[in-house]
Amino acid sequence: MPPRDPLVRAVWVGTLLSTTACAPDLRDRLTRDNGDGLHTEDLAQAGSLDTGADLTEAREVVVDTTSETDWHLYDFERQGLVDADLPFDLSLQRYRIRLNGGVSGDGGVVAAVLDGRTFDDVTAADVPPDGDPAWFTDAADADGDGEDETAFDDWYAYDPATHILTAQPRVTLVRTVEGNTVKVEILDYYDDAGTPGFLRFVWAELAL
Amino acid sequence: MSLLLLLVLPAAADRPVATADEMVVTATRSPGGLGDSPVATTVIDRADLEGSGADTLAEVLERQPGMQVVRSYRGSGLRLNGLDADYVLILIDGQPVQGRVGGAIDLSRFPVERIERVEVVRGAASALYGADAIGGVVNIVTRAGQPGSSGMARMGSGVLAGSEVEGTLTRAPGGLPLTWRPGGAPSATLDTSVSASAGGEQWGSWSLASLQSTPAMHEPGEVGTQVAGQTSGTVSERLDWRVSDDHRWVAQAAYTLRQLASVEENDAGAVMDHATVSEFVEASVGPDLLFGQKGRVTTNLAWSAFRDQAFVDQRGATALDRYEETWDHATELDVVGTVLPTDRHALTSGVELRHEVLRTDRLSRPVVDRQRASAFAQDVWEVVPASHPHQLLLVSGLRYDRDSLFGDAWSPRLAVRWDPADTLVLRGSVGRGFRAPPFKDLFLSFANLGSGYRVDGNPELEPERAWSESVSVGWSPRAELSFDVAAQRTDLTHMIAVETVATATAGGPARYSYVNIDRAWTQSVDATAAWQVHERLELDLRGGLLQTRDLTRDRALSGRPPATAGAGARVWSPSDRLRFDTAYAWQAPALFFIDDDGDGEDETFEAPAWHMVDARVAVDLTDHIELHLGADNLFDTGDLEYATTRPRRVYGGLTVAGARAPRGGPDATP
Repeated sequence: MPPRDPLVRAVWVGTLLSTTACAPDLRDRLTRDNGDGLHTEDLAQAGSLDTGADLTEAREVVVDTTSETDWHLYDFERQGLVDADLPFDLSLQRYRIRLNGGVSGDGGVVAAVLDGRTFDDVTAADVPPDGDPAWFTDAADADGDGEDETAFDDWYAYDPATHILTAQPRVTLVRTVEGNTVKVEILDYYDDAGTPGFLRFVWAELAL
Repeated sequence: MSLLLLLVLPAAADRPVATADEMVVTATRSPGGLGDSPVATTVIDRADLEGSGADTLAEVLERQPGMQVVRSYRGSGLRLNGLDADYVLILIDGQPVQGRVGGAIDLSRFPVERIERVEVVRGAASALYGADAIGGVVNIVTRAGQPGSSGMARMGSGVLAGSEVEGTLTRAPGGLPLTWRPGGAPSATLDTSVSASAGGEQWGSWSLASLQSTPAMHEPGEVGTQVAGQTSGTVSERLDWRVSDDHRWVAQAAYTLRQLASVEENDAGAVMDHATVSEFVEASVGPDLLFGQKGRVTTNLAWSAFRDQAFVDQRGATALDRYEETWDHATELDVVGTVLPTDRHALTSGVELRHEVLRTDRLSRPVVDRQRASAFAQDVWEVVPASHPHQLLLVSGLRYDRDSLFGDAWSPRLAVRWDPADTLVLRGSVGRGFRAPPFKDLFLSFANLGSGYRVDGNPELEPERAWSESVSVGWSPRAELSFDVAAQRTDLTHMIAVETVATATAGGPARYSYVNIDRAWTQSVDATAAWQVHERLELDLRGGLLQTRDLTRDRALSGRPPATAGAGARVWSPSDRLRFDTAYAWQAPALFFIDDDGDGEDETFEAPAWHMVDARVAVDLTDHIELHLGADNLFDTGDLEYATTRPRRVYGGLTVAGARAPRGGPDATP
């Protein structure tokens, strides 16, 4: 039983409160789960030329774009990431995708968007002829929002409530630096643990 | 007579029984008889609290008409007459409670054992209490020591056995003790406390140590939880010291440690364990002085602090892990005086000085603070005195708040009470309310570039404003029978809403901020009937209608049930050794507006109606041991997706109490 004198009791309670107060720092109590949520076999590696490779075979790749500052350069013919001194077709940072063409680069890469199409359904017959207005490239800001108009501008739907990006159902044709035509479908922006910054796409060259 | 009651010091050993003569303080900031109150006040007394079988205040209030307890992964907030928890002021012994998270004070952090009674005044009361008192004021009056000495130990446990629920006793991530996380079925609740009361002719002391725990809840097959698992521990002490008949001091202190554990699964497939540890400290001291029949002055110095640690642990990766710490503390000095300038007027006036400091990583400045000075005055005028058969009271009040962040706010109120007959009381009031923009909305600076958005506060925000009107009729045709009907309307303007400053583009994230643009109204009618059928049988009935409108979006406010109803019965055995309580509550289907598919447009969902039946029996096994058994939500209705009702719970417990009579006094009871 606590002391009965009011003043002694107040001191007793004060002592009790001061000894029970202050929870420890939560960071010291919790063990972080350091597991890797990504299937690393899909992760894009440094690319190299392989003249014997069949580029018309579909390839699913994941590019680690988690860096807030670095741009990653992807080249279809080299089937991987390349340094800036080599030809490249796409540059990637977080959820941003740019062509090596127009205002984004001097490689002359252009693209054509086939909305609502699925990857397997798109064939060489869907490729617009050269000079068709369907082909376009990254252009300077036209709508006054302060951002350039890029070919992959709206590859995703953005949910303002959950801030989750979901890939739009579409296939984009890309005419590469070397003049080949590939079809590209963006699949996801998250790895298996739900971490953003892992752009997953499938691509294949179309034999014209 | 009623006005002289304002000049009485409440005794330390006031009977904890609700009667028309019970002293209440919330409606006028001066003690007065409940039956004489010029403003309608709902009182949940100690007997109601014990009979409810509730462990915490959240479970007590969800059974009340016009009140909705909204559960989330951060706790249980109170929605009053359709207005969100942001617009409801929660007080402890008249002092504002610190620690709003997501706009809400978590009611599950207040153990029922600490509470003597709860007073609820609906409608805007900013004329007396200032900020946040738009929907109403809930004042938690703590227990005080009794003459003699007594001790009580209470141990209870329950099992959640609802079909909607899974959960186990597995420990939370990181080994936080006594906080359960889901994974199987069934799961347990815990309610235990030890309290001691002591007192003499001049002093009283009440001490409490309590621990409550409830498991996380989720739907079978789901990973994410709808309701967080929670463990709360509280130690508190209240000292009342009556220096003389005209001079009393009250001091109290409390410390609460609360742990929450929940699991979130987002649309991208990320599963994250949330662990939160919150600490709350409240301390206050002050004298209450009477100056004969001329007046009284009550002074109170209060300090409260809130520390919140929130840790998010992504399963399978660390990219989304985060830790946030928030410190918020406030110091407040109140001086309230009441004088009777004539025998027809009671003038209550006061000043408040408040200083609040917040420190958190998410603000544009590491530390922000605000100072607020307030002055108010209220006159209760007996236009026709109570001695006359048709008493008429007129209450007029005005308050001025000067805040270092948002500037000025004037809050008037006018209330009238008329007793056209001995059995009939009519009340009406109109008042202004405001809600101060919270620190977060003013100074937030948060970027989640990984998901492509950032949110910035708006230092130019103004207070949200409201006008509130209410009328009520109370009819007591016989002493044992009473009917009350109350209607209320609140019109809100300048409501703070999230505004899109820039949409997400390939070149930059979406940017959001806060603006005072939204408008809404709510209106409700609540009716209650109470009948003391027999000295050993009490019955009550209640029902309510609610209508809301979000004027900005031209639709109802999301998640408000348009109708509620309930009934209750209490029975005592002839020997008084057995008491049986049962309660029924019904809620109509409610519409929710949620953007479920991410297209920027809200979809409409309907939460089903629920019928909740509770029953509890308490038996005195000996003079010192009471056994109680009960069941909440007996038929396990409701859902976790929208209505977040508590699933079926079967519980039981023992209370062991011992008492020693005061020297020379009558037998004391615990």
